[in-house]
Amino acid sequence: MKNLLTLSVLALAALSSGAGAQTAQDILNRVDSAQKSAKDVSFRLSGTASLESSAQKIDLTVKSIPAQSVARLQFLAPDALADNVVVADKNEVRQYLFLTNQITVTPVKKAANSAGFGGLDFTQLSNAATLLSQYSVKLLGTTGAAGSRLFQLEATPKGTGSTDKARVWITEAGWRPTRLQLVSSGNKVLADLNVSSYKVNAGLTAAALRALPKDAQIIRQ
Amino acid sequence: MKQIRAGKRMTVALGAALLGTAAGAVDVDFGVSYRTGTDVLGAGSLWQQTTARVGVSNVSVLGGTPVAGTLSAGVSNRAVDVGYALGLSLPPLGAVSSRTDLAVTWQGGLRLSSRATGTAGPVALNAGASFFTTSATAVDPLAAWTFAPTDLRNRGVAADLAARYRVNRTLVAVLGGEFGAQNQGFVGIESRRDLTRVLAPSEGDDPTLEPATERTGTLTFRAGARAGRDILGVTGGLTYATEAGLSLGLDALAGRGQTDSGSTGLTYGLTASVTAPDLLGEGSNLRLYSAYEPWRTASAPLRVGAEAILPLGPGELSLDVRGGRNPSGTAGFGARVGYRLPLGGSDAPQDNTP
Repeated sequence: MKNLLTLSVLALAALSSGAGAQTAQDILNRVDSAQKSAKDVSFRLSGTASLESSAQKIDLTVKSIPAQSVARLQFLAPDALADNVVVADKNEVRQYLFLTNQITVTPVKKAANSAGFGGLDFTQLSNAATLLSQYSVKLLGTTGAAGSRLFQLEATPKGTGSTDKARVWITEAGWRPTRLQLVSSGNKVLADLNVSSYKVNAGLTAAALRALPKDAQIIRQ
Repeated sequence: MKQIRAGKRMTVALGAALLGTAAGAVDVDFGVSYRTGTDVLGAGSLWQQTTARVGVSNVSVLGGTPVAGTLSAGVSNRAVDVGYALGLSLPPLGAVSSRTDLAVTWQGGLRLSSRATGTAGPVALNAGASFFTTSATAVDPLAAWTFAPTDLRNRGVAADLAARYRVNRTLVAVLGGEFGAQNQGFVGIESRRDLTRVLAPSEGDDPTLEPATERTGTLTFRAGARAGRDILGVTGGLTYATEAGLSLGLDALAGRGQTDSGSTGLTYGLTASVTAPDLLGEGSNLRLYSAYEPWRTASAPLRVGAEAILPLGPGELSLDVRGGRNPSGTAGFGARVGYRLPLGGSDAPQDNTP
């Protein structure tokens, strides 16, 4: 699951500035400039991911208002996580658990210490520059005709000793990601996700992103 | 304002005494309740029928250690209470939390209760246990008429366990039991139907993908059975909830058990509640409930209440009016006014922890 979150973070990260090889840098710059005017970003991630040994269907939506540091993840699949919601801002991470109709509220400091995101700072979901500075990005290949070219990028974490890689496909039409892959050191695809329903400036509000069922029991942690 | 300042000083003093330092956000709680009824200890005197409590809650303790949690403590003219809550959240997989409360009345009665809940993927467990040598109403005179039934025995041990398993996205299986005053078990299923609308796809999307949808509300159906000492029945229920937060719930039981007159025979139970957030202004919450459960041998058979929470100034005001009929057949009602004042530490909006 943490891999999946890494991917969704990367999807956002790929939207703005970064570091790495010159060609990859050019692409990221285009994505970045396309995103500069974005007040909000939302998209759907769907595909499969290998959790433990078996492949599972994954389907979730990501909504973010970078300037206000608010991000929301909402699960549609797998069934065990469907309807669960995670909302993060500068102060706290809120988790809605459908099964028990509860909301856990964890201060960001505590959340970062706990294992849930595998050391990944979820609140940095909307701070792409910081995030991508932790990755080396290179251009693997280009397909398609001019105007609708598809660029395949590969990101490797810097300095962690990890050889897991994330692949991101960026379309020239709109300069946005269309597909994400997480690949293990043995070149096994751990997760393969499509990016769809991609929207910027859809008029999202922080209040709407933070909205969780109001009849849920709130547990502060 | 004078009262608030005095409260602040008191809290700081109390917090400092308890912990050495009171770091982070702390809430101060003030509450006054009044209830009628001849079964109150020393009934007839205004003092005995009034309960005033001041306390602190949400106090962070033992920060940085594996058992970092929050502490609450309070004192009233009936009892001294202290509570400790622990939690671990692992988004998006699940969370674990626990809470232990101890109250000692000025007469020397004791109530100790503990509850733990855990959710991991498709499984959730909720377990509670309590030990008491005085009744719940000795600590909180309005405790008899809460929506959830309260064990009104004067002393005893009680425990309950409930497990929920998500069979698939829409179906949840429930299994549990209550032990103590009236041992019983229950089993059931819950099925949920989303009321949704389809969102328009964006340009360039793969057309073979299912379209994204947005939920506008939910309908939940419940069906099950309950069996145990002096009760054997089938249960059914329905909840309708809108995305705006309005929630309507209705549950019924029909079977054999204690009837309204106290004899054993065909009996039924009916509970209903309405929750409406923001109806009394933004950030407010209103809940109305009624429960008629003559088959419960150790709880009030009739419970009715209205609870409102309103943001007021820096904190929030709570108003409760509750009433009902007790197992002995006497009727009564009570009201409570409370104010929760957050003190520094965080600028995040406060929640109405139930």
